[in-house]
Amino acid sequence: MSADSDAAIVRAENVTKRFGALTAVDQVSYSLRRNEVAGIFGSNGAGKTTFFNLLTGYYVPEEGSIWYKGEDITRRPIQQRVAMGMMRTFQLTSTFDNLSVVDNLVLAFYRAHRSVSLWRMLFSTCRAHRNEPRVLAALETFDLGDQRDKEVRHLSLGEKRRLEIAMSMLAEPEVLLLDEPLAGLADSEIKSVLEVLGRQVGKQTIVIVEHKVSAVKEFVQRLLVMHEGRVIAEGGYDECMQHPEVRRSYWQIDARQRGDEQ
Amino acid sequence: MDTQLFLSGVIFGLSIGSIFFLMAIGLSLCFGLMRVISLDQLLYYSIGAYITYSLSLALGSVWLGVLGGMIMGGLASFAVERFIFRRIYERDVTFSMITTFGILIGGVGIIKSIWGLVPRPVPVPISTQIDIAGTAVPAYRLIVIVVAIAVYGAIWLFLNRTIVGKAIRAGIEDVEHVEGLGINVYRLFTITFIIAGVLSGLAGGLHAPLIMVDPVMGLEVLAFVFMVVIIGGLGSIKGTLVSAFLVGQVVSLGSLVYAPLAQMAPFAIMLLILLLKPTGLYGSPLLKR
Repeated sequence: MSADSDAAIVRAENVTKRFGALTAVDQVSYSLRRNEVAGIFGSNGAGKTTFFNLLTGYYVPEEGSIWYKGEDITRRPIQQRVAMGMMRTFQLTSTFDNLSVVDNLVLAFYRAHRSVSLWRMLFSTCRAHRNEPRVLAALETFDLGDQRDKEVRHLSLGEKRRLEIAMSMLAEPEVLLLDEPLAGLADSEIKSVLEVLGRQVGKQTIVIVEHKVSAVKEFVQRLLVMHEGRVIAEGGYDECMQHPEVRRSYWQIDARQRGDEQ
Repeated sequence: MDTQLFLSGVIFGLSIGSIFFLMAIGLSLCFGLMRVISLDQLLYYSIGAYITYSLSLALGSVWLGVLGGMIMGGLASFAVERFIFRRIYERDVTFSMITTFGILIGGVGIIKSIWGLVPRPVPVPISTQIDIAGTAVPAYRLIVIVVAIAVYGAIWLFLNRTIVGKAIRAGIEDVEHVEGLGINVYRLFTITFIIAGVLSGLAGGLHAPLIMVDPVMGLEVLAFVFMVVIIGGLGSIKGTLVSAFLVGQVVSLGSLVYAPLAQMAPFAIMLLILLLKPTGLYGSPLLKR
């Protein structure tokens, strides 16, 4: 196991999370290798997001443990995991509606690159960081320059999602976990988001939870397929799709997606 | 009603509204960010007043007393946040209300045992009267109003300019997402509680020369402060300022028209505003949780 844990940046060991009588995540073990692009796939209620929440600290598992770079982080708070280098996005965007686009970016930037100390933040203004090269680059990359001073509540869903990804990438986490980053986006937007993510391949460990696996099949190197809280297949895209249990569980979704693509 | 009476009524209303504002802003921020109802702030208001009383006797300066009251209010709020709120953040909002009501009542008992039951007078630090349109207005009341407006300005700058302020505003929307950026939200909570405690202490200290300081003074303003928070809209500082002045005027001018109105009229206004705008004057529908 020790050889394996050297290669793995994030490792879950037999984690289980129950909500009352429902076992949302059932004895899942999973390893993420450094700088790989991994996908977690499954239908609604398969436990993908719950598993994500366990990895990122939003839930504490009833059983099992979670490791980051060989350290047990099962009970570490969210904020400490972020400080260690794990950052996530949400299905429903986690941008702040009352702040301007650029101030959302400044918050993410400042915490990651300037100071963790609130004492220092108390004496720092947002204005002083609005023209940071990395903030400007993020606006450029995610095509948000025109929206710079708009309050986020006036943005479209696609723009909010781009902003959220921009915020998480601005923090340059070692592990970036994206929860359905493409949901609700138009095809052109999906393309531009994947393009930006594509540039990070090999530089960051990226995990994508997706519903619509066909959209990211070119992108992910390894897939984890979940069904009713359990892992039913793990491996390359084609390998997983050929797996009999995956075919049995997902033939409906598969058929529907083929419908989408036509 | 002649103009002199009216004008002095308005000034009285503004000054009492200023006190309400200083109290309500802390409550509003605490609810907005932590989703707790911090009734213990009313205790720090009483503490502020009593410290002002004791220090003004000992040092001969009301201003130093007010400063001492602010420091004690901040320290008390800090301690309660650290040792009590930390344990109950996860609970329901009503739990915080009951817990802090207990702290308030317990604190009133401690105040009684230290300072006794007899109301204490605090001298007005400036007895000058200023002539405004033929009406003699006590300068001290004007100072109270100026202090409240200055505090409003300072809080506005803090929330809109500094990174911590932005983080607090972001946290009012969603604390977990702020934590998701890697910001230690418990520190944000502590900072917010200290600010609230200092302002409550300031309110008590400034109010002391205008009233008799007595152990249950916190309970006496409780209803008004709550009203200010609700009318203004939870989590909105601008709304809190506007509604504090509004409630102050209603109390003051209401009592000029017909004395019992002072108690009743603010409730009527609150009812009316909530009927028209359930989130309060500047309340944001964003506060869904």
